[in-house]
Amino acid sequence: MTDKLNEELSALADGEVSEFGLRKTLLEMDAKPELAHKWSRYHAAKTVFRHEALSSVDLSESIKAALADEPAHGSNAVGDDGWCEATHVADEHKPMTAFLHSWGKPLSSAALAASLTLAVVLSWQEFQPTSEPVSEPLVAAAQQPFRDQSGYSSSSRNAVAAQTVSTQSVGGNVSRLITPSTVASTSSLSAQSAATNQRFQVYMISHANHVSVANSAGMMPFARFISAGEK
Amino acid sequence: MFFSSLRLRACGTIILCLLLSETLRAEGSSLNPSVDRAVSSSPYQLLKSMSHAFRTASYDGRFIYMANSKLRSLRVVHTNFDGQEFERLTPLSGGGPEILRKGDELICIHPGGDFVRMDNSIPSGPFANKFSHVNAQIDTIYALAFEGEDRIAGRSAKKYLMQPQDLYRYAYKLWLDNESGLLLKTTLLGDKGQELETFEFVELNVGVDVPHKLFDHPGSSRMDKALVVNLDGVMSPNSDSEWEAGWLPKGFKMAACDVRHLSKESEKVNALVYSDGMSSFTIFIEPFASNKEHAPMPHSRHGATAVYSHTIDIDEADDKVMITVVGELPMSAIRKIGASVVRKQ
Repeated sequence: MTDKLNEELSALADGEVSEFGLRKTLLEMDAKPELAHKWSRYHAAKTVFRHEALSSVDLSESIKAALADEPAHGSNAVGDDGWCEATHVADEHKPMTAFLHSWGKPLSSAALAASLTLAVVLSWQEFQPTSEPVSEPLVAAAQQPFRDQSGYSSSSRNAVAAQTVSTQSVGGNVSRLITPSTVASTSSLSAQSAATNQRFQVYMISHANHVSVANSAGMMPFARFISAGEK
Repeated sequence: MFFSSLRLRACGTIILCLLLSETLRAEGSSLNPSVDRAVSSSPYQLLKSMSHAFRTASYDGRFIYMANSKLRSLRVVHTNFDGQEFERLTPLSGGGPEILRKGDELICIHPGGDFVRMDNSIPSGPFANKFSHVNAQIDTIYALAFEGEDRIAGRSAKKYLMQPQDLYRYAYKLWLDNESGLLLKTTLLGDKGQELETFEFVELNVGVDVPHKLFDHPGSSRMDKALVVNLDGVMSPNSDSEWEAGWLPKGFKMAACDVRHLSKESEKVNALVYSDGMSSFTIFIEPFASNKEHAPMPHSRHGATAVYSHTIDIDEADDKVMITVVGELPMSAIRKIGASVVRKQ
């Protein structure tokens, strides 16, 4: 496997892949089983990294299904709990030619958008909550303004507004997409360890200080730090 | 002999006149507020000019910071006392701390009067130059295009586009004040040209008299050792770190490195600062304790700032260190840098 492919796969895992790159990588994945296995390992590693329960879902299948033929293989429904479920049935026997035929299709379908979102949010999720008491604050004084913050920042909460919960179903994968409207009710799911949050604040202000001086950028970098702590 | 002496005297007079006119021109450009700055022809020239203005000008302004569709308004005041830079950044909307820089001392004042002081931070005064990593190599990393005249905060400005020559950093749109050379507005552009964040002055007064008392704060009387959390331990910008990034995008060089304590009890954290003169990132390396309170940061982005974190084994005893990279670069670059960090042999 080439470094280029590894890089593209890693970018896909981090949600940093262009539409073209996504299609290209999925096409490669279809042709090279080892690439698919590597993708699974990346997915698993990232899941563990985020302290999430491991799931055997292969998200790439959902995306391919959406890319290939959204109306026939996908449906969207809003559940009673307000969650928007994006269901994509992965057809393992579907020839890749269908996927290639879909190349010229408009890219605005809801399923495609949802699937792309699922890929993107993989790298934006926060830790699972911890109910254990937090150790002694790393920086006592830094705790005050961020005491009741559920995550790093409002911006990161926006970015992680979509939380995926995946289950395996007969005949395909089900990916549950939590819409922004449900974020408030699931904010506890995105609660952040206070100690990690404080360390993040220290890192941000240290970095802002470095940038301010190293790039002679005045106080502007500190605006990022202040905004990152915004509720 | 006579003619040759005359020629020498004439040459000397001409040189003297040229030097004098050059001096007067230079003084005029800094004293005369109506001087319209020439168009910068290179990123290096532009950054040198901008950096000089940021360090030396006295100004009081209000600006907005926009990222992730959120808008913050802030006030910034900057001046020099006894060759030291004094700055104060105050949020005008929302919560968040005030930032106060007095020479080499950085103080973060939280609502309610709590504050954190960072002693021995990177100097911002006359010594800041040696940390500033603007050099001519930046001309090979970014291409500069002048995009015409504009108006920001009621002031005439020149607009530039600084386009990177690779995919490992962002493009910048810059608006520089014609009068002072200060940066009036800047926008970071993503790989598709989308705006990731914007700073923009809405009001700016340059050359103002800034009173010293503006840099006092309510906690001044309580600035004793017992109340101060000392974030920085040893500042050793010229010392060799035992860690380094194995891969760097072209043009990035170490601007500083230091070893610090995040708290009095915590172990030392190495911080390596890299800059290409325009974009920067910091690598933090700290011993990793495998418990939930010491979990790695998730990959995330806050406006233009990306955060990447992972752990690596450092010996056979299963001891680990946590590597965290924070910077205003695309996540792909941050991730690649983070994955390349190694201990020096």
